[in-house]
Amino acid sequence: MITRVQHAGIGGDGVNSVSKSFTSNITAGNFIVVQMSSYYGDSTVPPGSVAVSDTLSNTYTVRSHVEDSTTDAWASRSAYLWAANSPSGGANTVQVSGMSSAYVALSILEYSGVADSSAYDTANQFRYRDSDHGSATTTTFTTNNISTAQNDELLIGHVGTLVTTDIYSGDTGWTEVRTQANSFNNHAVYEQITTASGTYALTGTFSAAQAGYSACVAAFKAAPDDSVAITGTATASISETDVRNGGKTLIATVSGTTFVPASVSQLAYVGGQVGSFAGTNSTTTVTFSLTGGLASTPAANDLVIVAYSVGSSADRALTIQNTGATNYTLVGSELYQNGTTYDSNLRVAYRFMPGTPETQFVLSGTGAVQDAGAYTVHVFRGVDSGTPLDVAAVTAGNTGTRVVNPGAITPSTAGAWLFIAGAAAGGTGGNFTASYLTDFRATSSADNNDAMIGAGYYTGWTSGSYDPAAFGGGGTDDAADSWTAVTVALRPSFTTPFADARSAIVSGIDSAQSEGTGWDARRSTIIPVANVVRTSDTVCTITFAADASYDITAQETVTVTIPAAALTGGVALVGTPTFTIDAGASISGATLAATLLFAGTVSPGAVDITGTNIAGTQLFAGSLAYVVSGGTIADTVLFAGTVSPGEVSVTGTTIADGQVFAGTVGQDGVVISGASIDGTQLFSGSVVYVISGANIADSQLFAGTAAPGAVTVSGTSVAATQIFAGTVIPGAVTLAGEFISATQLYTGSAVLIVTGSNIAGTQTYSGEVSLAGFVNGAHIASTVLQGGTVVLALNLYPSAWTGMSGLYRVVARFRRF
Amino acid sequence: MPKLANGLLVSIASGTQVLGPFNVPNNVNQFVLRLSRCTSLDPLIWPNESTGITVTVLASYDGGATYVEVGGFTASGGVLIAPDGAELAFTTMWTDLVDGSNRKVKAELGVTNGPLVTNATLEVN
Repeated sequence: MITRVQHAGIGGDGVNSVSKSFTSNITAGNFIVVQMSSYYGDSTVPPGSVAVSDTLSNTYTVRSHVEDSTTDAWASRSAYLWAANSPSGGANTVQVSGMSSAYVALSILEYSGVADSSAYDTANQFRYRDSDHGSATTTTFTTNNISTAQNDELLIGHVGTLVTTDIYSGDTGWTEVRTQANSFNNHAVYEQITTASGTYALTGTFSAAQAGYSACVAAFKAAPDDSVAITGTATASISETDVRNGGKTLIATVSGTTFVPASVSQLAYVGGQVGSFAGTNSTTTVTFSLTGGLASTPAANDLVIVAYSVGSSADRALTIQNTGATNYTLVGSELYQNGTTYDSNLRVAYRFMPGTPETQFVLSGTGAVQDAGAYTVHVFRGVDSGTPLDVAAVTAGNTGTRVVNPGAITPSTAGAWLFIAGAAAGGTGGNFTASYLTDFRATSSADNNDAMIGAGYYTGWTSGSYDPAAFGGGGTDDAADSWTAVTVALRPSFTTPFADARSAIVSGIDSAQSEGTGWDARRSTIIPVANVVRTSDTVCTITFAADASYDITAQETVTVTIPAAALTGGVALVGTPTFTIDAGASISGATLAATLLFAGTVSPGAVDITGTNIAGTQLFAGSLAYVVSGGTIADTVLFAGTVSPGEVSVTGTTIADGQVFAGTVGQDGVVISGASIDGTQLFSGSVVYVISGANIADSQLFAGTAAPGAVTVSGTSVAATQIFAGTVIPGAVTLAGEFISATQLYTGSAVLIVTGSNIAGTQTYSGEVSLAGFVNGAHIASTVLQGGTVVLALNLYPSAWTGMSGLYRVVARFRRF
Repeated sequence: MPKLANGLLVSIASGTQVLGPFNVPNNVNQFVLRLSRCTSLDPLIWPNESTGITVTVLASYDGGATYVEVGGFTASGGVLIAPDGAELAFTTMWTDLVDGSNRKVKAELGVTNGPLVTNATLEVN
């Protein structure tokens, strides 16, 4: 949305230029319009020589103009309209120059909401001169028409004539923003913010007839409103199970703004200084007095780099220390070049300022009173404190010349800055130059052996090797001279704005509901911050993690709000559309009957069925988890698929079915509880069951393979024609009841524990008993108790045997090999 | 229309001089600076076209502790003919002042090829 932020103006008589400051700081990214009406009198300034600039270094483009001409006998007025985007914010003064003794009315305006680029749409202008109209004056003004391209645009223009008061009245739709006058001229600035494309003109009336006027208008497109579009597999509707399983994605795509960067270099330049002295055997204490940067003295954690040059005829040992005699850290090695006459010595060293920043440093003597010394200081902020030098420093040097040619370096970290220092020794020194370096500091010091030094930094490296150019200047080169140089890459420390904002992004994905195990409660588990990924400047991808605890009873509606901290625009944006999460199926009722209730795949806890009577031909045909509760549950095939542990619970007074569980279930997969459990084949697969009930009867209860502890049947009466037809392993089957009777209880290899008052069966054990079987009971009768192979032992503890009289207690031990 | 300086005859040497600061009354929001120009009637005022002036007007809203730039202009000497055909008696600048109290204004005058002899008038409206 386009909004005018501020405006100001200035008038001048007989001026060559005018400047006007905005009252408040400009906001970075905003749009500036400069409008001027001027009269040149008898000047000879050619049209088009007028130029606009400002203190934020913005680039202005003239979008509409009606220029005066020195050949125009009518000497009418000129009108200009310039515009600029202002990428930078801050105090701003606009200057219009290039005039010669002109009469000027200038207005400056700041707008927000205008497109950053390609804002300009169209413009037009008109100059009325009575001489063109048979000396007729006019009481109306126009700029002529413009046709705009989009609905929301800023139309802005002005009209000026030779009056000193506001005689203007814009037509409907136009707002007079301001007027500005000088002694002879007055202009009125008008704006209109459109909501529909079409044909427009700045038109209106004068309160008094005018012999002439100049008017301009220009149209600028509004920036697209900042927005967030939500796409991905989580939209527009997903299920409770989708959330539990994880893997769904939300893709947030912003327009009109961008996500904050993944990392931001903190490098900044604090300032520098330079100094020199004649040869001395004494130390020199230097007090920080920085210029050209952020501050005059270093702050805590700032990196101070000192380059110390000595011109000599020998290899001198130099030191750079703080006032407590702590050495600055040497960069590379102390350099020496043995020139024919003049030897260059260079020591470059750095030090991070402690919590209480130091105010001075100390340079050693030069080594001889004939040897001059010179130094530079450069202070940087935001250098990586652990690894300030991104790669090993590169040293260079040579004799036979004083022309410093620093070595090439290949930094490894994006955003690294280069620091380059060069020194030389010669008979008569001079100051080096290096225009490619920022804040290049250079000096020389005279003595028998002159010392020269120059150092600065370079911020333009992006990749690969950077080979600094040789220094210029430095006085008259001589074959007796020598030089040394050090090239350093400074590794920046970084902030991580996007990573820092991820937690807020997660918190911004919010449900309108608030169940205890719903979205808001489980959000941090469903979306760990690591799953929030900055895919590009405008795209963020959010991936759900699995969360088995997510459980809702009603649909949730979730809105994605990208927080201000995550966007460069600094304003939170609500994404569209929202998405919904549907709760799992829940069926309740006195009587439930269906041919096929659930044919698909559902997850544990996904379906709850509660009712007095539940009946259906095929209730659950897929992989699923159920809870079925009811007085009477009857169906031909209740569970035909595969279920996992703990997935099925059937509780009812009466449970009867032809085939309740036909598939494979895992440990504790099925719990059946009821007063009466009856079915032709309750369990035909590999199963683990717990069956509890007063009466349990079936033709074939367990036909498959059971693992240890897999089957527990407890009841007053347990009777079936063939209870266990498969193979069971030790401890797999426990039967406990007052009466246990079956034609063929165990036909496979089994290890059984049977405990009851009465145990009777035609063929209780017909297979191989691999370990131990125990049959304990008051009455045990069987035609064939053990028809197979007993590998270990079977202990029988009958309190009474059929066919015996009297009271006996027989302890028998059968062992067959 | 209070006049902070009324027809003050000044001879401004080459270099930068400061006019003011002046206290600004409340409830005024326009600043006007007039420098008299060379005319046939007063040919000794700023006669040379080569004598230039750069004026920067500064305003303080904290009693003079700090100043911010308000506006300015550059101009040259000599006789100018105004749109009404008469000789222009003044080079004049009008500009806004932000409302407030405890305000001051001053003007920095940079002269080249001086001295520049003129009458300076400062008004606030």
